[in-house]
Amino acid sequence: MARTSRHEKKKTFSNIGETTPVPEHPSLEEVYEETPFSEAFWTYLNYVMLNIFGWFRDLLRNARIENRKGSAENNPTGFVPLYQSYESFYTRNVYQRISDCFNRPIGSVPGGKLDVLERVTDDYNWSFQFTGNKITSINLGSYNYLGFANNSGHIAENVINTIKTGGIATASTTQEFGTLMQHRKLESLLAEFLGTEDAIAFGMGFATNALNIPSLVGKGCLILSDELNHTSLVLGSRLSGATIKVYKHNDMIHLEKLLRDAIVSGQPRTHRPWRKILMIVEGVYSMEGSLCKLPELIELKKKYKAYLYLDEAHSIGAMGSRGRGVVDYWKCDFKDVDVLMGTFTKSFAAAGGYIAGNKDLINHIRTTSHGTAYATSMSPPVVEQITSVLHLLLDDNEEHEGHRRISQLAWNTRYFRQRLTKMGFIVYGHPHSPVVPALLYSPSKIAAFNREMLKRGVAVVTVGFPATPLVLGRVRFCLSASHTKEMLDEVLKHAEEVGDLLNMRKSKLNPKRPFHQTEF
Amino acid sequence: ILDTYTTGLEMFSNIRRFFKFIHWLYLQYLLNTALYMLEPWERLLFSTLLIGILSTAIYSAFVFLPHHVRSLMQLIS
Repeated sequence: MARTSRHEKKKTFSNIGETTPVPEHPSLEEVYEETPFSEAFWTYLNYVMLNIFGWFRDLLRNARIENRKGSAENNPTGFVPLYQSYESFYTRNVYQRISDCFNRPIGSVPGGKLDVLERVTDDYNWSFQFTGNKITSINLGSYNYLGFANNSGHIAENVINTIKTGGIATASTTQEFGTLMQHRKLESLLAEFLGTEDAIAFGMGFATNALNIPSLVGKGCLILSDELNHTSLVLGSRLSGATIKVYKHNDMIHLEKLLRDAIVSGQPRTHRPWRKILMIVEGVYSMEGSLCKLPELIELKKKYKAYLYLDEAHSIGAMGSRGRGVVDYWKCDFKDVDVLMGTFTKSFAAAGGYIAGNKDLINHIRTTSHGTAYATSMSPPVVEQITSVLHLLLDDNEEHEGHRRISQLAWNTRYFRQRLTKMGFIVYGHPHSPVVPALLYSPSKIAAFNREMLKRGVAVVTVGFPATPLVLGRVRFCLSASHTKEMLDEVLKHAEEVGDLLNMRKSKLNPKRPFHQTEF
Repeated sequence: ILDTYTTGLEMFSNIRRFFKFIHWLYLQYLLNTALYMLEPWERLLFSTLLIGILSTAIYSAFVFLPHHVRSLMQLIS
């Protein structure tokens, strides 16, 4: 599949050879087009209507005219009511009406194509029944950037053999009996892949962030974190007890101002100098598709003597000419970033997370982290999957599979993003990130887009409030190296049809053009 | 004259396109006012209210506007 499209690429598009544009720092701009006034107006009207009908239906439910499905309680006197906050109102009256678009069960391996189990509902999405059919659709919702989520092939064979020899569970925490030879081999391979001195791997990616930030910083330290950081980073920062200051997304001027103010005024009440300053950023932000500005961050770090924590959950394996993440993409030195963190869920098609850095740092984490003391270590088949993928990616030979997948993903990203923006959709993010959010603004358009695309055989993920800001609902396409050019063309044709149906192709920067006029 | 005359077959596709356009307008109405997410009886309720208010306004305009405009002109002159 991937092989044929690479041949096509060599035939027709001869100047697309690079996976990163130039050897110097790329100066591609991230464009965030502002919301058209009509879309903002209709979205607010949507929410007003949903609120009015929500109050009306709640009145009917409380007066027992209507049957109460979902969580309800009898409100006994003297007790605080349980379900009165706006969050439960929103869930009952907005989320529940379109909940057939979310949490869909799947019936196959989530590779390039996916089998979605068909469901019908009798009572407007309060309960579902399976019809037994499977809808085969093109999968643009899984985090499968390098296309390793398969159930056949030589990596799957390795994993099955490891189950037979090594078992399924390690049945212990890392500090007790849970470190096997495979874990040590994985960690040294990781350190070689990333160019650092040492690395340590954990069984869960969320827990890697949440449980290791407390062992790096504590009371009396300062954490500067980006506005759009992931919940795991926010939870870890709060758990550590350090002072947290938030800066606007990717705004280096605001960050520098915060740094200078913090260094001058010191700790909150005593005005003593801070023990440590840690800047927490992500490589690729998954809801915006934007990249962090790493060269400027490293310059700031050196000037003000702070530490940098880089969370490469979505960017490891997916960005860079050799697949080594954003540090490779921006051509920076790996030794400049103090703590490199990443997960194995996205590009490696396994589960777990890692932290890489100096040997002293990793030794400290090995002894003091909550994750090593209380959490079970990674199970052997998962370790084997990651080790096999790492062997493929470390191989620098151009013809072999690792490099082929990385170039295929880079080509897919640029092709898909160019054509989607030229067709008139409003798309956020950096032109090279494999996460492509196209804006849909209102909850009814989110639901409509999702259902219409599934009717045409494309499975996408659409998100609204509260994962995104209130007015900015979006559809998020996650590209993969297992998508061929034909699959992407089909997706783009269907997106054009559905975009016309919903009247969503109204970008002013890129006025809409039909599909056949948007060639490279 | 030969260019402006549509044959019988073309008329069918034009009618079909017209109905498709009306259906598209109805879909825009449903999407923009959040009626797409509501149940059929709620759609009926809201549409009835909306048509009732609009038709009352238009009827009142037809009946009372000429008299209002005439008295305003008399006041000005």
